[in-house]
Parts: sequence; C-alpha cells; structure tokens
Amino acid sequence: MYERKSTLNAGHVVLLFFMLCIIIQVIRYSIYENGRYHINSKEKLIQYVIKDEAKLDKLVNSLVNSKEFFDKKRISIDYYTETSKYYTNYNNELLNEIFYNYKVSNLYANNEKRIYVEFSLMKRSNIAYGYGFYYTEDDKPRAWQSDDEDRLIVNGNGYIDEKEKEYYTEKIINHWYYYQINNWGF
Amino acid sequence: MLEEQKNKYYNRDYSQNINNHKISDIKLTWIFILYNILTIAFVSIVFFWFYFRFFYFADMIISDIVILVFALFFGGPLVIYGIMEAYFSSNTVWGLISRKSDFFRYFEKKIIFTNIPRILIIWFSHGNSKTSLLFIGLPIAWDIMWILYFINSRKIKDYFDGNNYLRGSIYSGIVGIVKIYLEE
Repeated sequence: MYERKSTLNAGHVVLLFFMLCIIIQVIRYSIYENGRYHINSKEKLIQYVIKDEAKLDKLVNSLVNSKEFFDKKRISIDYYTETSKYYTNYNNELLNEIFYNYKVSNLYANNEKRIYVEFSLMKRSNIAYGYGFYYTEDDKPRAWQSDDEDRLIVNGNGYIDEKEKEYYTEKIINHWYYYQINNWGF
Repeated sequence: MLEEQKNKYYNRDYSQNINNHKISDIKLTWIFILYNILTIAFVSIVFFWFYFRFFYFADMIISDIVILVFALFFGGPLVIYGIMEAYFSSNTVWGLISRKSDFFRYFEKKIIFTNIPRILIIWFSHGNSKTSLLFIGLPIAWDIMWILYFINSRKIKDYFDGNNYLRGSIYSGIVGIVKIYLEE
C-alpha cells in the first residue's frame, strides 16, 4: 500500500543516537566488569579474601569505629542506587573498592552480642543461591542469621546449621568465614 | 458542463495556495507538533534514566537468570514502545515541518505500533480493570481526534499541495469507503 523509502530520515537519526549511546555503555560496562575479581567458585572467593585480609580488616575497623555504628549498633549498606544506604554515599574509597571487586550486594554490620560484619555477594547460581563472607570479633562461626553457636554441627571442613540445613560456613583465616545458603526461601 | 468543471479544477493555482499557507497559519498543528515533541522528550527522559543506571541494571541482569527473564518480560514491551514512539513521532514532526506529505502515514503507523506494546504494558501492570481500559482508550481517542482533524482540515490540504498526504492512508481509505457507501 505504501511506497517503501530506505533513505535516512529523522526517526532513523533519533534511533541511531539511542543505539550509539547504548553501544558506548555496553563497551564501558565490559571494561568495568573486566576489572573485577572473577569469582566463579568458593575456592576463588577464599583466595581473594586471604589476599585482601589487610584491606578487609581496615574496612571493618573503620566501620565499627564510625559514629553511625556507635549510635545505632548496626549498619546496612546497599548496592541499590535509589536508597540513602547506597555505598558511594559513604565516600569511603576502601568500601567502594571492596563493593566493586567482590560485587557486594549488601554489607551488614551488627553489634548485639559481638561485632559481626557480613558481606553478601551478588548471586551466581553456579556457586550457591546466596553466598558471601563475614567477620566475627571473637573468631567463632555464626549460625544462619543467629549468634546461637549451639546450632552449628561440624561438617567436613566447616559447619552446617541444625535448623537451616542448607546453610554452610567455613573458616578462611582468623576472624573471617565463608558462608553459603542453598535454595533459601524455598 | 464537464469541460467547464475540468477547466475550473485545473486552473486553480495550487502554488498560490501553498505560498499563502505556512505551517504557522495552521494553529492547531503547532499543538500537534508540541504533542509529538513532548512524546519524544518523555521517551528520552526514560531512556536517559536507564542510561545513567546502566551499570546497576547490567549488574543485576547478568548475575541472575530469574531477573533477566523478568527484565525481558516487563522491559521488552517498554523498549519496543519507546523505539516506536521515538521513530514515528520524529518522522511526523519532521514531515510536517519539511512539507513531506508522508507525515500522516507515520502518524498512522505510530498509533498502530505504539498501542500494541502500550496495551501489553498496561495489562501487565494494571490487569483487566476499568483503569486499564481508560489508560488504553484515552490515548487512542486522542490520536484518532488528530486524524479526523487532519482529514477535514482545508488549510492543511493546501499546505501540502492538494491532498497528497492522504494517498495510501489507512484512515482516509476507511473514510472514503464510508463516503461511497453513504452516497450510494
């Protein structure tokens, strides 16, 4: 019914501009993603934590000595851009570096019975449903979302939770533990 | 009699008519152009909102297949809608300003191709409710109102040197068929 015109028109120019913007962002993102740690297994994550021990200790010290932590007894820092808890709002270079390198989705620090700092990493289905590492002040492992040590049962190199069988935790170095949870919520 | 009518028709000075009519004479057309420009602006705002959060969304999407499926399910129609709006609205505005009679065809296509993803988005977000019918019906009614205005506007016909812009148009075809049917 209509004559087909293959010439460049205003619509094409607008779409090409949008397309160009997206291509630029994809290239920038590939470079950004390439600079991160390539964590594709539990062992890799443990290696990186051992390598970054000094940095992680320094970050935990700066967090637990902060005024916010002293007042509220807990801190939650997110990867979500829209909230006030967004990690770049803290202007802490070390925090930015750890969030970037490990692809941290949430950092949670608590001081109810003892100081505990958890780094939840973004999902990678080839490792576990949820996984990450944490710091405990007294160098003792932690049960799933609880300080109740009696719930932990020795299993291989690590521990599982008596109540939450899908939870597994393992010591990496002094004060630092690896954890994972399979099929949480199902 | 027929010869006289023919002479009358061919002696009409169309170029004179075109010179007498500028786009600025057709007041409602400026509202129409503004409406299309606002549509492009709206699409651009949504696009740049996404553009500045690209890394954040990319991190989310590549880390989990479930998020990827959800993103495609909800974001897919939105992306198609944005592309269609930007493409057809730009061509409509450009066609009107540069006296290209195919502006009308682009506007028709815009109504068809933007409303399919728009209906999908509204159904996904609002379900089959009265609100969703309102959100679907009002923009379609608004666009069809413009089509009727252009078909019946004398000044815009002169501006485009006769009624070339109607040739091949779906709506003018429908209007033509209805007219023939009524005359018979």
